Amino acid sequence: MRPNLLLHTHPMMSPNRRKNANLLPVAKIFTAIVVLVTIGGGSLYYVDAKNELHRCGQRKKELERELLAISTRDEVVTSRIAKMSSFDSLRKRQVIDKEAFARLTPVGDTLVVRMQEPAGAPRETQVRTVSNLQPNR
Amino acid sequence: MALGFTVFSWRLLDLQVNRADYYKAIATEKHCARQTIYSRRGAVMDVNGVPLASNEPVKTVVVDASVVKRPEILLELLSKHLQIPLGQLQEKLTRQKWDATENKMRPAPYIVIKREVPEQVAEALRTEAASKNLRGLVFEQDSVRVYPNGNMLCHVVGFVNRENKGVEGVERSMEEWLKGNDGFRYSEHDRTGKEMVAFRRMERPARDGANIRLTVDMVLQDIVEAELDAAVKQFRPKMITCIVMRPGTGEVLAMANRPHYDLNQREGVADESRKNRAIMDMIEPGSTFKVVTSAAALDCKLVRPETSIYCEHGRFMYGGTTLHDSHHGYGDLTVNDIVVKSSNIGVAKLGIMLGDQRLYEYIKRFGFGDRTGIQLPGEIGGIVHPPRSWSKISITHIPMGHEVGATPMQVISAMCTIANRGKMVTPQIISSISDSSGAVLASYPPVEVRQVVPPEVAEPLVSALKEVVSKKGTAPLAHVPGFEVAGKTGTAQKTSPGGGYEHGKYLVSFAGFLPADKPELCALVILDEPIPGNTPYYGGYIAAPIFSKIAQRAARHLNLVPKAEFLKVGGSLVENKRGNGQ
Repeated sequence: MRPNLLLHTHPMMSPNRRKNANLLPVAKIFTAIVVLVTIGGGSLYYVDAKNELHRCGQRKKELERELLAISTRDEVVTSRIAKMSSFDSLRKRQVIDKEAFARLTPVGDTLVVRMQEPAGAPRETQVRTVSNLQPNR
Repeated sequence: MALGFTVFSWRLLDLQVNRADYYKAIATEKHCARQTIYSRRGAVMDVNGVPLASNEPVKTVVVDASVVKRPEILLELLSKHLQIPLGQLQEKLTRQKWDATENKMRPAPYIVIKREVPEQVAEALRTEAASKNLRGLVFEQDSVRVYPNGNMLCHVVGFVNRENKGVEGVERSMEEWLKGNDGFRYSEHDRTGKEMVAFRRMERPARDGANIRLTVDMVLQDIVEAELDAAVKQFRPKMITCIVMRPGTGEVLAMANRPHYDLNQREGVADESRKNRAIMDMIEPGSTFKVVTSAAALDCKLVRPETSIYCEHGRFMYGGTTLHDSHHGYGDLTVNDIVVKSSNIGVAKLGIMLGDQRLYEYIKRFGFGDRTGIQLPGEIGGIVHPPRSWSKISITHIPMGHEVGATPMQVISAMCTIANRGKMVTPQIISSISDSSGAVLASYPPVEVRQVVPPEVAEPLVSALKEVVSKKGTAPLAHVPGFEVAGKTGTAQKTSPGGGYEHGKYLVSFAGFLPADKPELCALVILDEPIPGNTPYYGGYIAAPIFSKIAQRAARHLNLVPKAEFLKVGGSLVENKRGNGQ
């Protein structure tokens, strides 16, 4: 007698024998793989995210250091400019570098020209002379 | 096996649950730290933003001797860059510290080699150390307070101590605004000591100190300082003080004293040089005080400007003593001329007419005996004895500015009151306070204290003060070409420590304002015991020309418009005693 491939039976097989005895539980295996991959992938993603967090933290620290270095350099330069342009410093340089400052002379009163403030424009209601020319009558 | 797993499980629960807090505390102690975020001290600047006090970043060079591998190369490098002798460095680096965990002495992990190292020096040292792969060198950020203008405005700006706390001047009076607030941050560190930024916890950023803007104009300050230096050279006084103010608002535009000192080099500076004499010195104001007596007599309607007072021809017997007029003996003088000629006898008679109580009240109304309230530390109120403490002759001495202790600030404040037509304003040295971004946090508008005398009383007094700066008066040398100047001289004999007055020692002064009708600036110059040489020993000859030079340059800087009718004094040129024709 021929075996029934569809039902997985054979005429010689005992009826008590369990069906599908040698077959792989594909569905279960697939589920297990999916679950394991999900958990494993999630764990790897978690680890990667943590590392990224640490890398960002280190980068933040580097940027903070860079910012501090730039602001420090800025303060140093500002301080130097303040020192070099201070009245005290300029006066000392004036004594030391007489030649450079020799061309600077105090402005005397004879060199100052003062402009008079222009007369303000007359108001709308103000009576004013338009012309001194008398019309021919 | 089940028993084994039970034991392990119990142990796990014990560690993770029962004793969780205990182990968490140990971990926190080992890996967590509170880091202070230091704030920057605010800057002090003049009215135009010129920095007067600022911070300069510096480094502290530290060596961790426990990790140094090649000490001889490191020592050489440090000695070369930091200018420290090798022997001194060797002694520092060989320091050892007791290590409790290993139970033995180990090289110290934190040795301060040098503080306040300039940034460029530290950078050069770091670069060379890195090129030679030297370990153990650490640079800590720090800052040092610098004063770019050295000894200019030193008494006003003041300085800080090593803890960066204000000790004198504006640095002290505005300490609460300048200091800022340090921040903090809780963070975790890994086993190598590196901060794990991702695990930063609570953080509060630092709030930098506010910036203080003064009312002082450094250009005017420079003018004043230069003229004071010239006066010190010429007259070699014990002390000299000059204050320039804007009468309408009370703003102090310049303030200088001699002796003075460099704010960046304070070691070994004498206390006398550090004193801000403008607010801390007590002087007898002398004849400049006569404006107070005259204003009081006019306000009480006891006299009018044209009222005639007999001035005893220079000798007045009162209370068993003889009072003299210093310049000249006069017969009848109007109240106006008493001020113009600075008659001691005339003003003493005005004081007698006023009486103790009324004179005392007006002296207090003019601000004497009380602090002016300027925002500087250490101001004194001067001394004005109440009438019950006066002697028989006090009523003749006080009106001419003796037996009264006043600060230069009070004297110029009284003169500004007259310039303001009787309105007293509080002197101001602080203009505004702003944060590091420039946003204004506080400003100081003019503060009117009171109307001391009405304008109709102040006006005739101003007329008299104008005449003082004329050939008729005691201070023709105070004239400023192009401007009508009003002012009063003072020549006060100095008191002797043992009582009475010292012969031949005077405090000379001039307080004046211009333009007289609409004053824009008021200045006071005081010299203590000048050596006059060939110059007559009067305020009109010593202090007045200094005022004239300062006012002339200041008027140009402030863009005050001169008028042709005031180019000369009384129609003819007055030769300045220093030889400059005006």
